[in-house]
Amino acid sequence: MSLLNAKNLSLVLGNKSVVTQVDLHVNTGEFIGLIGPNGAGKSSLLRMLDGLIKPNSGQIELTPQNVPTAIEKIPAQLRAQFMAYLAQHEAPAWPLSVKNVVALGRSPWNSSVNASTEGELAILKALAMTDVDSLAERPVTELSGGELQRALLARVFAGNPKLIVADEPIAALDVYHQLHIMELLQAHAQQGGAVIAALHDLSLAARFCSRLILMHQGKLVAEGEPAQVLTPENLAKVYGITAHVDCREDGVVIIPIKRVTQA
Amino acid sequence: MQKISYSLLMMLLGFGVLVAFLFSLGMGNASISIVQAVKDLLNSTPSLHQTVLWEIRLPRVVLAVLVGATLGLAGAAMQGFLRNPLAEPGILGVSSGAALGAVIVLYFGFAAAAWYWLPVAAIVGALIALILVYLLAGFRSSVLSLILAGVAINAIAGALISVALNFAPSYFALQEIVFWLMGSLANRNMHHVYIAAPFIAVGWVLLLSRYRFLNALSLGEETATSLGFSPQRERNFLLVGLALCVGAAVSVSGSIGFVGLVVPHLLRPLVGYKPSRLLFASALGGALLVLCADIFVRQLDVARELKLGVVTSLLGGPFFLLLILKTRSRWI
Repeated sequence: MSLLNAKNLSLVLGNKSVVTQVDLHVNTGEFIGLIGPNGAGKSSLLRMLDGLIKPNSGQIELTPQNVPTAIEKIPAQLRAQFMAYLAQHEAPAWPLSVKNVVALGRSPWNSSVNASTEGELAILKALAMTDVDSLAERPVTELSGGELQRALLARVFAGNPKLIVADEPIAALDVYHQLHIMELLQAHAQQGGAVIAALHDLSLAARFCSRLILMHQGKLVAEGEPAQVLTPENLAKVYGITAHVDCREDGVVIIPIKRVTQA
Repeated sequence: MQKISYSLLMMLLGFGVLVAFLFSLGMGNASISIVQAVKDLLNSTPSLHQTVLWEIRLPRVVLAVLVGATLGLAGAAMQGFLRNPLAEPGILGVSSGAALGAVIVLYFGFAAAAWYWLPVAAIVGALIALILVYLLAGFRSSVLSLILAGVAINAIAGALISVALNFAPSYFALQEIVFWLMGSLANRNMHHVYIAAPFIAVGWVLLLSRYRFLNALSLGEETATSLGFSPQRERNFLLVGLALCVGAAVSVSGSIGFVGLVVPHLLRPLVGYKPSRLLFASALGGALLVLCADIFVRQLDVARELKLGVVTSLLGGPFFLLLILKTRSRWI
């Protein structure tokens, strides 16, 4: 089932064209990796998809209730119940406890002061899923980077969204935590949800994502299964590198060798 | 990390406000009985008890509660909105706008013509300051440009107040303006309550109703948007609420500093750092602090009244310093 369908999206910031005519669709069960060099327009595209910024042209349709509806026509609360956004540098302003931060994920649901039992259950489930239940009472400002990212992901899960939009969810994490976050996102997709995440680690993207979308200078350059997208030609064209690409049984291994010197 | 529960804290604060309120009502030069005064009031028999209570003490004590709660609440709301523990109610220029409005009225001597000129001018001044901040920063502006606009408004209003002091028509006018600026609740009557209370009430409702947004804002404006809030809309509610209640509070009390900064700061760890809970707790805490400061002022039997705003700053400054020294490890 199609969850998100974007057509012809373009965004201009100042007089610079950041995203140019991008078409994109997300179906149930997909874990989509959005890759591309710095400044390719990944973050801007994700923010448009989540309704945080308005595209200069193009339409986005979401399917929160079986019928595809234009994003502008969906009430903000319903949109937030359907789709969650994990920002790139999400820094809590106050030393709130982990549980309180996770509880914020319920904001699209409860309008009363007292959290409902359903909400309480969702919070506990999210804490357990991300393995932060032992940290529930700790202030978020005292967590390590990996623990914080897990807590913030628990915040996303607590809202029971169908679609998760994550901007570089594994940046600046150690390998163990990168795998942990990727596994959680993959599990979400496999359990009937969907994820679209901007990623920089190409090997992990290839290993976990069902589909990759390669962006370059605001345009969509290649799309498809990881092995089809991560070709030496694409890497040379988009990233400006030569790389050793090895398609194996257990995934694609990419070893960057050197920069392509501009002729 | 929360040493006492939220409901216990609120009960303690509420109880403290009630005790200070009654104590403050019962103290004064005239020895009257509150019970007798209430009886006379209900029977509508004019008596000294009733007059002293109704005309002199009650307005002062009620205003202490209104002004204190407003400053505490507005301080907590601004700290949550700007995501900064150093924000205070006056940061966007509404307090100095209100002060300038009042000073203009005092300068031209309208204040003596009718009692309502001063509070009305102050509320208008606060609203003009808010409009100017919006115009300067733009309606779809970032929080930073709002703060910068607020700094500019504060500077301009401060400069204009200095001009008024500089060219004050007489020594008495100068003294009147300076004393008013220091902040006080002396010699207020029920009319002051009637004129300030509606604005304050509307402002409170606007600020308190934003509690869910302020919680979500802990994770930043983008995340709050993704959680289904509209920051532009919420901001309008917050800022109009701020201008109304702070403008009205300043209009009847002058500038009472540090309450809006210290009270939220002090209570934040006690409510588990939750911005929503801090709103309600700071309102009670602010009311309690201003009630106590006013009781202290009235205990001093001196020829010239020590101004309430002087007391809060005098206590607030060093206290705040102590608080920063104690908690600085956490903020670094």
